[in-house]
Parts: sequence; structure tokens; C-alpha cells
Amino acid sequence: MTAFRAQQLLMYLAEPERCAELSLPQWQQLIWLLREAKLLAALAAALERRELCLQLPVYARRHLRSALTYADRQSQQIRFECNELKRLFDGAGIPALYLKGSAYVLAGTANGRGRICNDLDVLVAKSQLADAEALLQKNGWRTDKLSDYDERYYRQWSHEIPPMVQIHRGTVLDLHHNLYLPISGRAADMARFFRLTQTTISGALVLNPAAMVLHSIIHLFTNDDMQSGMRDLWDLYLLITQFSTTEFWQQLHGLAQVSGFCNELQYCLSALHYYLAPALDPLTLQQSVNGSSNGLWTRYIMLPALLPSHPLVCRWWHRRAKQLVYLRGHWIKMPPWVLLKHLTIKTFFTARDQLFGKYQFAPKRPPNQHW
Amino acid sequence: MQINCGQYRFDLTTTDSAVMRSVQQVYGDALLADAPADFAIGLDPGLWLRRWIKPQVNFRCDQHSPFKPLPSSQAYAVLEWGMNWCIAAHEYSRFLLHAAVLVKNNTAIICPALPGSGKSTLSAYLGLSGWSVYSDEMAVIDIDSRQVLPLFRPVCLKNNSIDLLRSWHPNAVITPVCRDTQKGDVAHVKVLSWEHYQQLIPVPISAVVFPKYKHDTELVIYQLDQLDAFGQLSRNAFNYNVLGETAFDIVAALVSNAGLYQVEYSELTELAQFFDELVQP
Repeated sequence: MTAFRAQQLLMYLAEPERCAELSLPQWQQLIWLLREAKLLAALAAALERRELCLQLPVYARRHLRSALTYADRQSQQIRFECNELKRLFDGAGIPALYLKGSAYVLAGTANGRGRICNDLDVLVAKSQLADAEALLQKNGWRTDKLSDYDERYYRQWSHEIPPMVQIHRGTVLDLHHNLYLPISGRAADMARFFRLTQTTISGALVLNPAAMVLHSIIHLFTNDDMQSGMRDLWDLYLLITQFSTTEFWQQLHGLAQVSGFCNELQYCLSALHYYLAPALDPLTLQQSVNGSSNGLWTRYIMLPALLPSHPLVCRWWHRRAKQLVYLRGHWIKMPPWVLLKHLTIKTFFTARDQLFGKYQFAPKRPPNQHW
Repeated sequence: MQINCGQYRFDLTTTDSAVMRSVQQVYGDALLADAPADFAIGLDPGLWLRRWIKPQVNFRCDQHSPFKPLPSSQAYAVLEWGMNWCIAAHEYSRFLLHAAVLVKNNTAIICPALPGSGKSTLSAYLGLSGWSVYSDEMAVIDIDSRQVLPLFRPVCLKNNSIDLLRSWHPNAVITPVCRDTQKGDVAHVKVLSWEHYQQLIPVPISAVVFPKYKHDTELVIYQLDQLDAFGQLSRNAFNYNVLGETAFDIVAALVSNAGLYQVEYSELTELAQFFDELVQP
């Protein structure tokens, strides 16, 4: 039924010349899959980098162009918002560190073009969090009302506060004070990470290569939600390929060790090896050979869970893998008694929504009022 | 089953036989060429209890549901709206205006979709009297040529206009009425045959008309100034904010080159006459 081996999916992005051989039905499948994986614009960017777009069928070109136009517009929006935020934070003397999507766009890393972001991620020191939040609230960012439970979840346990929304432009901002949840007991030493930063041409503060990659790894491989797993792995591939030097690898290993995320680094190396081995540079390939895990959990749970949730590649056992990763994501981020309470409450609400329909208790208008 | 809208193709999964009949009625004559579909869509029954108690229908674009579920009696309307959503949410290789597109003599008049304009009734009326309806609510404009492209879609009729149209054209192909939707009673009327659709070509836009239905009035025509028209058009585009400068250039060229009118009317025949004058070669 599917023309693609799931394992080969990212190779179309890494070696876009392969796209030349696709038939129209294969293009249809690839476009549906990558759209679901938030990677369609990334493929468009990869094809454009090699100037391969003109040879493609019109059907593919149109969808790729649409996706890239959207992503480019989003990058423009990110630059604009970050400029606004910089003005605010600079004025108040609060150093703000840009993370993930916004950092890639601002730093102009290889994955910056064609990346679809859900929100802006900004980090400030814990001691300045309350000031930063108040400052944002005074300047057009509001927080949507959350349920009491969710509000407490963010405030007590999380490494970020509830999402804030720009009242005019609808941009969503996640304000962080750590790279990982303090409740887990594995929160990063932010004083260290604030030293591992660099300033972009536009004057924004972002993590240096090793710290940026480690954060990307932490984000992907401690996550309970693997919905954007492939996209995040693609980020890692492009970042690592761009940065890969002996010195970079030494720093990355050192940093993973002192901050306690060696397991996650191992998952990353295994995933790069599994999905992208033929496209790795010699250094990264060697790293991935030496650093991969061959354990059952990695092979049968962690790696398959990264696939996009699309029936074209995601079979029932992949869904089971995703569920187990969901449980693991929770298990490592909370102590058992907190986790038990959390899952009980979440299960209750999910079961209720399944029975009566999602909107029975939380009526929600369709997003577009035109229809 | 596949739905061919000319510029877009949908791969529809549903078990609702009433919906399949309506699809057949509206799109049945379209050629199902061996071409890839742009979107995988589905109409799914609600979950669990909702299959038996107040049954619902849930529109799905591939793996996502953009709307809340609606009563299953509205399934066909949900399908048409869902198809609009798919295009509007993903198409950035063309400029999309929320407007009806009416074409004669290879010249297009577009009517931006302001509430109370009566553009759907107008589209259906003209569509069944010698005009080609390129769309009743979405002008698809090519970015390079700035010409408007034809869509193979029905016109969405609301409330009284359904009976009105039936009285004018007893033989028109109209889908069964969906009652009490967000927009009231809704039915879709076929205004193009596939044979006719295949003759249609991209055409330039010669006029932008903002019609306003007003009970018991004579036809009154105002000339609009460019700035006003620019504001209204840019606010009525689906993807203006994403296309940015490209969209700005298209709208600017449109208001510089096309006739810009605001019209009050109560008689469709009078309005049709004015439209005829606008497209005289």
C-alpha cells in the first residue's frame, strides 16, 4: 500500500535528488506524509538549496511552494516578534535567551529555512520570571484562562509558564525558566547554560552550537508527545551536520555528561544512524556507530515512535510504541505519586470527552468564522 | 471516492450514503483522471455514544479535524465547507479572495463576500442564465498572470433563496436541504456541467462589485475609490497575511485596473443587466 519504507522517509530530505524518481502517486503519498509531519516546507527548502524545484511535476511544485511560502512568512513573523521582545526585555534589563524554532531562525542555522514552528520559545532566569511575565502582560501579551489543574501544573511543576498570546497578532509565546521540568529533579543548571550562549547578528541571545544541539536533544527525547518527532530529528540532523567538528563533539559529550542527559544523546545518535546513516558526515557517522544503543527499548520503542502519526507509515505497533514513549515521558518527568495523580485526572477527562464528544463540556467555535 | 473540483482533487472517505449520493449529483460528471489528490478528507461518525444519541459528523482533513462535530443531518454542507477549509488553509501558491467570481465574454467580475450581499443567490441566478460561475465564494488568482482560475464547485444557497431558485429553475440540480446549520438552511446547486467547465480558461478581472441587497430599492450604483476598495479586498482575502508583499501587489494592481463599484439592488434582473454592461467586449 505504501511506496515508502518508513525508515527511508528522511532520506528524501537529506538527498532530495531521490525525488526525481518519484511517480505521481508516490508524490501524493510523500506530500500527505510530510504535511502531517510538518516537514513539507523542509523538503521544499532542501530541494531549493540544490536547485531541483524546476524539474518537479506541477502537482508537487505547487504544494511545495505553498508550504515554503508559509514557512518563510512564519520566519519573518518570528524575526519581527523577537525584535519587539528584544526592545521590551532590553529596556527592563532582563537577558532573554531564544530557544528552538526562534533560535534557528534568528541564528540562521541550516534548519532555519522551511521549519514550521508552533510558538516562540524564550527563556529568562528564574529570578526574573515574574518581572518578565508582568512586563509582557503590560505590553499586549495575555494568558488564556486554563483549568485550575493545568494552571497548577505549569506553575508548580513545569519549566515554563502557561502560553501567552499576543492580543493583536495571535502569536503564541512560551516563557521558560529552565530547559526541563524542575519536578523531574533533572532541571538544567541555567547559570551554566547562560554562559554557553552567543549573540546573533540581530543582537539576540541564543545557545552556542553544543548547547543548542543538547537542548534540541533534551526536548525531543524526554518528550511524551512524539507528534513532531520526525521534524525534530530533522532539526538535529541539519544542526549536527552544520556543526560537526571534533571540538563540537567533545563539547556535546561533556555537556550531556555534566547535565545528566547521556541517555538522550545516545537515543539521538541511534536515531540518526537508523534513519539517516547514508547521509551522515564521516565524523557524525563514526559517532553514531560508536554511540548508538542496540537495546530493545531503543530499537523497538524509541525509534519507531519517531514516525509521523499517519496511517501510510504508522502501523498499530508504531502506535503502541508512541503510547509507551508517552508513558516514559511522564515517568521520567515526575515522581511516581505526582504522576499517578496526573494520569488519573488526564484519563478521566479523556474518557469523558471520548464518551460525550470533545466539545460537550468546553464548547468551542470553529476556527474560521467564514464558514 | 474522488472529488474533482478542477483545480483541486479530494480523496474522500465516508460511509454516509446520503453524502455519496449528493457528491454523485454535484460532481458525478467530472472526469476522474488518474491524477494525484491534493487532500485526503473524511466524514467520520462521532465517537461512542454519539453514534446513537444525536449522531454527529466530524470532518477530517487527513489526520486533523478543523471543526467541532456537527449534527449528521448537515453532513453534505460540512463536506463542502471542509473542502473550502482545506484549500484556504494550505494554498499559498495562489492568491485567494473570499469572493464570488462571475464570468462572461472571458471577463470576470468579482463580488467580495460581505454579509448581506446576496452574492450566492446572485451567483446561482447568473450561473443558470448564461454566465459561468468560477466560484461563489473563493476567487483563486494566479500570482504571475493575475488572472482568476475556474473552480468546478456548486453554489451554496441559503434559506429563502433555495425556494426562489427552485421557482426560477425547476430543473436545477439541488442537493437535499440541510436544516438549521450555522448559516440557517443550506442547499447546494450545480451551476456548471463538466463539459462546460472544460471550456473555461483563466480570465482577467475587469470589475470589482460590492453588491448590497436592499428591500424595495431601485438600482443605485456608486463608484468606489481605490483606497476603500483596497481595504475591503485585503480584509476579505484568505491568505493575504501569508503572501504579504505578493498579495499587496496583486490587490494594488486590481484596484488600479478594474472598475470599482458599490451597488444597491432589490431586483436581480436589474443587477444582471448592469453586470452585462460591465463585460461588454
